[in-house]
Amino acid sequence: MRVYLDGSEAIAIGAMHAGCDFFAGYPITPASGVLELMMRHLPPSGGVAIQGEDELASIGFCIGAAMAGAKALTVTSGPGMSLYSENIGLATMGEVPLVIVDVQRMGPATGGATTTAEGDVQFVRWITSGGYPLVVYAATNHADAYRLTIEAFNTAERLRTPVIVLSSKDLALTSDTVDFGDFRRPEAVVRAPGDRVPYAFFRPQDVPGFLAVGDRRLARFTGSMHDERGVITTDTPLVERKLRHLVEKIESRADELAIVDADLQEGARALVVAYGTPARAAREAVRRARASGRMLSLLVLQTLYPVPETAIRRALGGIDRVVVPELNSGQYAREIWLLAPECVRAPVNRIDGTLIDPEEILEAAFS
Amino acid sequence: MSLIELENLPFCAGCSHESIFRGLAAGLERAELGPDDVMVVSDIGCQGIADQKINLSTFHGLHGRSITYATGIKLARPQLRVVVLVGDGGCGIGGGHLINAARRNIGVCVVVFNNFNFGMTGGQHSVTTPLGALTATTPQGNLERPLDLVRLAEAAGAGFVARVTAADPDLPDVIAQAVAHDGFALVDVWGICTAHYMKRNDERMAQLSERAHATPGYGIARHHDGAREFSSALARGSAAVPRLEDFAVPVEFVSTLERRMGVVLAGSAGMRVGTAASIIARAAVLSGLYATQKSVIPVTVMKGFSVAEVILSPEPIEDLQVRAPDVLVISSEDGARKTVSMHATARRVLIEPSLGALVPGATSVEFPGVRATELTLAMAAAAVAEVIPEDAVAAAVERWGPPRGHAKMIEAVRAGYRGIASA
Repeated sequence: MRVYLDGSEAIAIGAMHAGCDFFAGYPITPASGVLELMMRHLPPSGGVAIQGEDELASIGFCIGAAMAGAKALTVTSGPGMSLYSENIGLATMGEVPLVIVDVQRMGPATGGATTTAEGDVQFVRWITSGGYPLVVYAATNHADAYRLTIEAFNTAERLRTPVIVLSSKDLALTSDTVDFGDFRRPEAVVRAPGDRVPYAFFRPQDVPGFLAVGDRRLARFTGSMHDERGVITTDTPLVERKLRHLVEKIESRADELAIVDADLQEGARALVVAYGTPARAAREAVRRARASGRMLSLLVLQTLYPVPETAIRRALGGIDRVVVPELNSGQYAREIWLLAPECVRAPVNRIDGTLIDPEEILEAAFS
Repeated sequence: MSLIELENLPFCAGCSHESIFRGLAAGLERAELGPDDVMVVSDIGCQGIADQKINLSTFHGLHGRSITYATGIKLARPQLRVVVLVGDGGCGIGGGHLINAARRNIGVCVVVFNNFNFGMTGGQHSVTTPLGALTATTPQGNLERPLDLVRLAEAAGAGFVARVTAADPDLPDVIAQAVAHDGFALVDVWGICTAHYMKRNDERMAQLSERAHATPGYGIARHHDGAREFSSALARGSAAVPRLEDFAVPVEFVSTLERRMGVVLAGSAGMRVGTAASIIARAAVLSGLYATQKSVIPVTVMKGFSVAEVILSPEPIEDLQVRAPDVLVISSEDGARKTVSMHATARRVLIEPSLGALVPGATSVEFPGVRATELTLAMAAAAVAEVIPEDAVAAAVERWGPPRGHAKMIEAVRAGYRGIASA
């Protein structure tokens, strides 16, 4: 089946197919398309969609609803992510299943509201005070936007964590033709119910079962440091246990959370590692290179955090030059350079609102 | 088991918070609410450190945002009564939420523990600190006029608004009425902070009570029933969610295009440039091609340029940017000026005849009888006439065109194909 749709539609429909039944957002270009779609389609299908008075309210509604049992989504752009920051920390600490889509635009501040950029990468990874991890996906195209939104809901449910999906203006507001012929939609995950203790876990990486607030059983939710019962504590061993749990829950699952497309060519000496819209230019660059008899490997990352280290190390075998194209001044390249200390670094960066040209990637790979 | 355990509450000796907790426990009991009916959302502040004394589900989030969590919970579980415990500090940092919750009439009952300063952080001034009052951050006396929460809630449309003191014997009754109210309710409970405010200002409970009585809005200031509570007013249907199939485009025509082609449409806002781009892109997909459509948008809406890029290709498209357009369509002066950098690189420029002088070497094409609103569509049709069947473009108008005006649009498409054939 061949469809024609824009990135906002891909995200909104992905969310609804993942079982999203609660949406809140505040208008912001270029993310408003998703807000309007959810306002139009969610209530007629039994869900709740609301436009908050600001971003603080929108994510607050989502966190409240999620802890009352809903599958919640909010969508914004960079300035809204800044305002979400404190509440994303709350969702991390309170172990709230929540999906946040960041339709990136040019920053800082108001920046270029209608100009594309993908410069929120390190920002969203470190968005909460304390620096605790969360899961970050990045869509390269419309099929990804649909699929990763579903994966994000599933990961949020499995791990009781906020999950961020990165999109951008040139994905959300661009229409594309997508073949969904052999596509298999991920099954929507159902939240695992908890017993009596709202934050119970045995090993640090275990995920507590979910106790909804406002259900028949008493449940406590808090963003303050708490023990397994949700009661505030300053007891050092309990504090350490909780915070180690927040790290281990995510970091110990790096392999399981890794979604990548490896298109590795035997004998290639250069590797392109790409994510977001530059991955499209990278696919085109690889096609052109191979068509002209030059060898080039490609690793496309849909999971950015936790860093899919195993997949990256595997792709680096036999490689001595790594190209990292990004629509920012070089953010994710830091993660790649750490894993490839011996390789020649060939970053390709654009911050002027235009997209990376496949020829720039070829030049970086073969010059 | 009582709803709230009143022994050993974690408040300073003499603090009014203890009396308000007693009033809350009695009020919930009087309203005949149990653990299945009601839960509590507490804000940051002294009133929020006693969750474990409450034998109901509790939610303790960020400072100032308690009303937002309560709103989300109420929307997800409309049958539940949700009580927010917040201080005067929380009403400052979260003032916007208070106004909007009242305006929205979400069924949340807000109990304000108003003691005129930030007790937990050392007695700094808040939005309700009286004029002249001494606090840790107003050592010369407060110069900021206090916010009247009762008047504010009334102005924002709250259906139940009351002001009482922590010592009032009818506190449980007022809270019972507020919690039972089907809509937004606010109870502004004035009390003393023995740790800070009372130490710096000569106001004990007796004087506070006098001040409360002397301030307009004391007692139940408003009790209006009948306005529709927001969470129950929301429509909740049972339709199926949209499917990917709803966006499917069948292949019904044949294109002769053999390689990627980039078309840029440049006009003015109001000339339906985006619509024209969408029509030719969908016509291409109807003809078995892949297509993308990318817009260059100014911040203005009905003024200034409007530019859209369409890429057509027999193969899936990876590079989303049109670099040197195969055809640049210029339907207005705004469009000509916005695309100056492409004038020389475009393989072909189609231009509205009156603008011909702006772009040397451009092909001027006449589209007799076509209005400005359909001109870009006519020119876009002309741009793809060699590779997409005319009927595919007409079919795209019929299926995906705007709700009205298909006949005019199809005439414009036909004019586009005729015009380019004679140019």
